[in-house]
Amino acid sequence: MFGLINRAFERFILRDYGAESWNAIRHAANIEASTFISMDVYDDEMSFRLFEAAAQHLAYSRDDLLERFGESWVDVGASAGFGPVMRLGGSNLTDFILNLDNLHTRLGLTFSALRPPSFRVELTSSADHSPCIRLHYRSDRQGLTSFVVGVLRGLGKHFNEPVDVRIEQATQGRQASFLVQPLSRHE
Amino acid sequence: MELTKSEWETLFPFHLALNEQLAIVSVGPGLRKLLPQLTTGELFGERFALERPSTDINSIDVLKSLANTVIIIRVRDEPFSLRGQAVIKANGVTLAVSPWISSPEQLPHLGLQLRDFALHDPTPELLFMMQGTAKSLQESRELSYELHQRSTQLQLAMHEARTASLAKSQFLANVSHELRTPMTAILGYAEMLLDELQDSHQREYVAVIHNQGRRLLAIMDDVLDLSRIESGKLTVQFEYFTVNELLRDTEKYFRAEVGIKPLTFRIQCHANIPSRVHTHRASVMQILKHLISNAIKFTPNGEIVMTLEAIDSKQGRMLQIAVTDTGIGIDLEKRHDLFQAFMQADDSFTRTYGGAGLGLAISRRLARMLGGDIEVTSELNSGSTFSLTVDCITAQVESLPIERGEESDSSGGNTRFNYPNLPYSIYVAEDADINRTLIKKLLELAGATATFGCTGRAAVQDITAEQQSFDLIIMDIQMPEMDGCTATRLIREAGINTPIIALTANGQEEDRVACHNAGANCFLTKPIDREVLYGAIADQIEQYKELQATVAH
Repeated sequence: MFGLINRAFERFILRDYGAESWNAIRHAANIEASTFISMDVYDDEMSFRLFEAAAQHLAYSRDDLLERFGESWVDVGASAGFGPVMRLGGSNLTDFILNLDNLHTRLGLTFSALRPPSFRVELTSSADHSPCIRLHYRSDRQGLTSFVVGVLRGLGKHFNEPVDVRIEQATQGRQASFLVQPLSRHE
Repeated sequence: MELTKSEWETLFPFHLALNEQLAIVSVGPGLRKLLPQLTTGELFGERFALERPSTDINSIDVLKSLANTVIIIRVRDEPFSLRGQAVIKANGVTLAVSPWISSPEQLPHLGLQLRDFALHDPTPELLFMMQGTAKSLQESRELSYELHQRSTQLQLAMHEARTASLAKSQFLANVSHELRTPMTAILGYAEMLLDELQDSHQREYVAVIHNQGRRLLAIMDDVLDLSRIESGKLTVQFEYFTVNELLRDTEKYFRAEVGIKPLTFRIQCHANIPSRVHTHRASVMQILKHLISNAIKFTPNGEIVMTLEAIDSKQGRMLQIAVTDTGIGIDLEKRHDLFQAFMQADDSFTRTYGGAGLGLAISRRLARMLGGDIEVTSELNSGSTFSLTVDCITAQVESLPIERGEESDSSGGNTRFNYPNLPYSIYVAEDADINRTLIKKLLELAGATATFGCTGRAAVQDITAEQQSFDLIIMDIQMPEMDGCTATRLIREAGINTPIIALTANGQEEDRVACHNAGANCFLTKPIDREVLYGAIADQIEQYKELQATVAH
């Protein structure tokens, strides 16, 4: 993964749990580097070690931790140095989700080591006939489904359109379908 | 195949169509979003200019002629350009262009989104790349700044460490000086009392004071030496000297130390020992003193043998000096800690034999500084052998007598001292009253006349004054107003060549070098060893007379 992910995770832990926790997590994960370079590529295993160590240190399940990290992603990751580019994605949640695959495809073309996930969007409606989005997700990385749930919630907050995200279907941690429903109707 | 308007808008959302009169006839939705005031009918030149190629667009034919050229169009009063190509059409030219943004920071102002770009347009990828580069640069600057900060902190820490080290050195020098000054008086007066007292009990008591004073001095020297070794302040000065000098000194040391113990001291020299060696004489002597002192301490009776032999080792030819005793020996288990500072073979040793347990620790460190080491072999209740190896053999010159031997002087340190006859006029610069009195007495006992000055400045004035002539000068170093080194230098600059003996409680190597560089002929440390002092006075005056006689001829 790009160092950007590890840096964002560091920022998330520092912001929400403090330097002492980060040092303990880094030590437990056996991370020697004192900092991560955003555009450098690190072994995926290092990031997963960090997630695992953090979940243990903070007494969360791994999925719970990744969901929290995902929710903070817009603030600690995407916006930290990539704010202007983030704005290319759209000015509201629906636009952004509709552009999600284009955004990742173009990022993948630009940074060949990125191996971004792929998304497909269905605009649909829920049982109470309110509009909602069904997002199909695929990745060649396993175990990040909860992170995506968090990212979608975080995007909702970012665009001031809070949403409920439900995993409808998940396969081997690499594929999932999410139902994204507004918590308050968006006009 | 002609594209429809809708197809143009999908494929080239930033396109601009011009008629034959260079008037705008159509604007793509993306460009309209960027330039909402742009209206059809406006002339191209009113809002745009060709940046590359650098050409004036005064007719549609100019644009048509650029059909195979990358064109960059500057948008007047806007922070971006348009980049693309001219497509010739039946009724004019359509410019199939995209915004060319020089910084991602411009994006928020332009209000563009991903969907505004045609899917084939790589402009967003370019923006991502630029953002990635900007991010990397920003992190590089942060790391560079952090590196600079840490480098500054490191330099500061190094400066503080150096300052602390200097302070420690100064403290050691001060402690050394402050301890040696009273010890000079204690040992000096005890020696004189030993000579003057007639009552045997009283002499015995004073002998105890004298011996314990020397022991205290030895422990003090050990502690200071260990501290100086560990702080890297102890330096070794390599010099040539004869093995015979070393043998004489060790014999003399043994005689002084053995007291009334029934011990014999023998020296055995193998035939392969060179007459001269190259190492730090004082350090070798210090090690041998520790080894002989230990051998005496742990051998109730019997023999101590010092064996010298040239041996071949991995490092080359080495001098091995083994000190073997017939003493109590050391248990195998207890040998491991022997060379650790403050360790003795057994706690009960400390109670029985005393000592701070520093001698062997210092000896091994000194031996290693001299390119050698110390090893021990021992058998309980039979004796021990401590073997010192020193890398000091540079050339085989001549062999020594095979064996030397010396019976210990059973009367020990209680014999009366034989004062030499030194009928000279000696100037003494010394600021401490108690030491002036002691030196005056010592010089008088040897038949010398002493004149005293209390500061370096007084010494310079007295010695350089006309009508004043002395056979020798004894110069303390640490004195008020002017130190002894400065005084020595000024005396030499005044053209006075009288021998000067520096006599100081500053016993470190750098003090010796400073005194030598100032012009002193000899360097002695306090407490005063009267035998050494008398010997130095006699030697210096004799050498000076010989030199004068040579010059006169």
